[in-house]
Amino acid sequence: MTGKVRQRAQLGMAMFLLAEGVFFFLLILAFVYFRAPANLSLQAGSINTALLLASSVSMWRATVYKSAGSRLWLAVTIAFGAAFLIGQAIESLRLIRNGVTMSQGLFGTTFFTLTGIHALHVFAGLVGLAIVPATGLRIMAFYWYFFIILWLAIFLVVYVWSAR
Amino acid sequence: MSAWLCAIDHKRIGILYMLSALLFFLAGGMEAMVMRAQLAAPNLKLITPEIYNQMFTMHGTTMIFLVAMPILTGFGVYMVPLMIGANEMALPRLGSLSFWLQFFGGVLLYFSFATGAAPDAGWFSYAPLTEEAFSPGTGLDYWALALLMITGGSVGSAINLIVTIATARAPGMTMRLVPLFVWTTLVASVMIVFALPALAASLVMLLSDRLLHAHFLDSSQGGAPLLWQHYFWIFGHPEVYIVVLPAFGMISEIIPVFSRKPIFGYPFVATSTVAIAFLSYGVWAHHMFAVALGRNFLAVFAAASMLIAVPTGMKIFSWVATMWGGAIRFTTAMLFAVAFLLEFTVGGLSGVAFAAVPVDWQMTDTYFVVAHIHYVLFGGTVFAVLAAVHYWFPKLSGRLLDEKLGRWSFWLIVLGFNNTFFVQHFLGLLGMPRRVYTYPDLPWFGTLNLFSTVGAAVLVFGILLFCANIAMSLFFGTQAGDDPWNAWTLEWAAPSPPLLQNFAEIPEVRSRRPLWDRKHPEAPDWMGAQ
Amino acid sequence: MGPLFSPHSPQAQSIAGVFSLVLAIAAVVFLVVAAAVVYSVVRYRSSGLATAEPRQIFGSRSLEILWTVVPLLIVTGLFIVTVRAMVLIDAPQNSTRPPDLVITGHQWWWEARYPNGVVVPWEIHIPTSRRLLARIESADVIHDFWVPDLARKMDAVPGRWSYIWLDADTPGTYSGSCSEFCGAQHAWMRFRVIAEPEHDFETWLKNEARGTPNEVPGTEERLFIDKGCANCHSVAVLAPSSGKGPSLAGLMTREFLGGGILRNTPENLMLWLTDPQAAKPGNRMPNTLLTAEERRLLLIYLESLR
Repeated sequence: MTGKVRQRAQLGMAMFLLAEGVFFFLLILAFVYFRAPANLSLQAGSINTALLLASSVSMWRATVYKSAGSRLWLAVTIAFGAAFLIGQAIESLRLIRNGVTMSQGLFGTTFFTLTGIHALHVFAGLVGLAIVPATGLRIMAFYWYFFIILWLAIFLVVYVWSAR
Repeated sequence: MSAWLCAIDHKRIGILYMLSALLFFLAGGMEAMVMRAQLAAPNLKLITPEIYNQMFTMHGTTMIFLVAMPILTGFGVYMVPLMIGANEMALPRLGSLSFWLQFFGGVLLYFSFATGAAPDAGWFSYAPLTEEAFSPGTGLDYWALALLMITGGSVGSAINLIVTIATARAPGMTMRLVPLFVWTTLVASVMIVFALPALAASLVMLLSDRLLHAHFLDSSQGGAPLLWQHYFWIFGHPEVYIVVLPAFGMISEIIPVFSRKPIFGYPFVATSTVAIAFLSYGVWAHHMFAVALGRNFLAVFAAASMLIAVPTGMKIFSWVATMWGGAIRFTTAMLFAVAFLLEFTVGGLSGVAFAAVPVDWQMTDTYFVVAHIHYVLFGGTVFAVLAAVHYWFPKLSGRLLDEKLGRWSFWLIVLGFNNTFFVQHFLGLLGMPRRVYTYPDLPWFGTLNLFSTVGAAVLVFGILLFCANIAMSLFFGTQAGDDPWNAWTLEWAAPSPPLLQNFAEIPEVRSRRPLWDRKHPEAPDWMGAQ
Repeated sequence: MGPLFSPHSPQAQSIAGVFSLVLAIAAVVFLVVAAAVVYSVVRYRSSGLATAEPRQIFGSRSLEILWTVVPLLIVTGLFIVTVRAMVLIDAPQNSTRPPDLVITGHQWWWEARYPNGVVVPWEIHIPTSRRLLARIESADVIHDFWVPDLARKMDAVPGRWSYIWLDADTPGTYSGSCSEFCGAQHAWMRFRVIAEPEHDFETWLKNEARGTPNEVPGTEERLFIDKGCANCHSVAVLAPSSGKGPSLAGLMTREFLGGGILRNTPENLMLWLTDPQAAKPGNRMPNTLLTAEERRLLLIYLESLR
């Protein structure tokens, strides 16, 4: 990838992430506005957060190493990401079994929409990481870091702040 | 055929956008004519209220999302690389994807007619009318899903334009030297990145409520119908500037060339564009003045809404000052540009009227606001686009549009447009609310509505003449050559139409008017006081 | 007739005043712009032949500052006028004073509830001597209560209460309409505000409160109940509104039916009984498929509702 092409792809990704940021900011704001009482397991949320943070480290390593080493760290990142999604699914199923669904009330509505759309983006990220050619890895990494930072914000608001 | 379907050349994609916009413009225009026919006299029963409500919803949605945005994107995608001396857009495949997302979003929206019920809650679809309980059909689901696709397309093309303008300018063309159409397109594209996600968030909430039985907008379960309004207008107000700023850019290219003078006050015009962009995110609640949101809250938005008139008005003065002292040539493009000045001023002034909250407390949701929006969107954006078509058609096709047909279509359009919409100010003042499928036989209601309907028929005729001009000139128009208007920006240095590679060699850029410098080596812009 | 043309309350008067000011400013600005455009277009028209380029002027800082500052001053003045008028016109949204009138919007009719329990649809009586605090509510979707000659518009948002002043200075009948798209029959959610001198208003209110159903229902009234009409349409002003359909109490005192869509004539009443969808397409009244005889009896009953 030549310098110019890389610069353009980076700027394009940055603009795209800006748009995503505005989108999620508004959904988080809706969550905060409704302030619906929560019933979440801080423990499960923390484990999932840790998985995602670990994936950020492996993602970084994947961009630092070359070829085979990079591919290994990439696989680790994808594994951590998948584990996060599985953890989210388990937590969601637990809530649903306890009667907290999208239609149960405002907490269900805002929680599932916010975390669900985030999870969809994480899934898209996993697909992206799996198919991106080596030259585009750094740019895909931006995407990945963004959704981890976004998760931190969601975790702080949904798990920590609303449990107070 | 496949050359067009798989195209990634920005010129092909630009033309695809323009053709798509024209197609949807005719569809939206038909929807308008159906409405105007139904409103020609009191208590008519040409169509049912259900059909009428679908008509006004589809008309508004089509015109904003499938006509105004795409036509400006189309001109941006076609002209920006040429104007900055580039051979291609920065992200060609994204460009192609963005077009098809927008186009198929439109197809999905119109597919709703085939299912028996198009969406019918208005182009800004307020909750809770749009909730399942009150709108049980699938029309609104089509509306929301189609708009999500269109949003994706808009954001994609905006990103492409931003990256192109940021990274592909000819050497010597600093940001302070870009043509104003490029500048306004850049600002509008950045606005899209910050505004369209608010629409996406609104649509996600609506679809969650409708399809997944969530409660974002359902007051019976603690949700908030007003949340829709806030989020939608946080998108919606910047949106109307998104569809007007590139139009301002077009006018800023056309008036100078046909007045034979540079744009008066380039730095002010450019800065005021940015001011409008920033301010536009702080005025959204002026669409909600009739809701009891608190006097102080409303006053802040009133102030911002009045303030935004200042950078907007300043541009009108710049354009007039550009003509002043010039040598004006009345090509059809210039006719539309001058008409734009007058029409947009009317629309802008009625907008300032609404910023005065007590006036809004009477006139919002009446035909006064219908008049306002059509003066700014039709008299503004559409007139600017009509001017731009007459200006840039030679570059796109290599042929000139017929000036005689152009003049005829111009006068019919101006006559038709003003007859249709000026009287609507009075209908609003007389108390006629908007979005009504018929009205009682009150004094003047019938007469003014009939006048408006007749005006609309004249307008349609003018538009058809314009379309005929395009069709005829494509095949029989005079050859235009590279630079039929003796203009000054880089696109006129490329052949008409440009080859796949726009420029055999990128021209030198030292000022805002590279071709003026080339034609006037004794008095180039970069030597004089700028 | 229209807010600018016939204000009949201090609030509408104030709005008309602001509007006139805005109109005057707009007219002046437009004339200045139009004059400049017309002048340039006439005076600086090219002679057509290939002439030398005119003097290339790039701008004038002083001129640009002038046409930034002057509009800024104009809008500042307008803003001050706006805020002053808002304070005068707007009713307090959080007052502890109980409302004099509660107005509820339904799909697709308006009804007013008075403190003594009287509930009337479509025609809202008020006295001319006082400034009434009216609470605007919605039973379903967002509507907007708009009586141009008397008051500002106010959105009726479900889940919220909003307040306006109703303060007619002259007796008269003032027409109003719903002013926020609310579905199929938004167009025919028209209503009237009937302002009367205090004494007449009190008389009307007492008469309304007096109307009660007969102890022993006659044949026609029995039919009205048996056919299910009474489930949606109350006929006693003091009975709580069902919320499903407008009250028919005092039906014969009204000039229009269905929010203005039809005049109140025996033929149109019969149309409602025969085919409600033909009377007001999209409305929620089902067609109970009455026989000709049932319709005849029900018409007699309806015509007895005064």
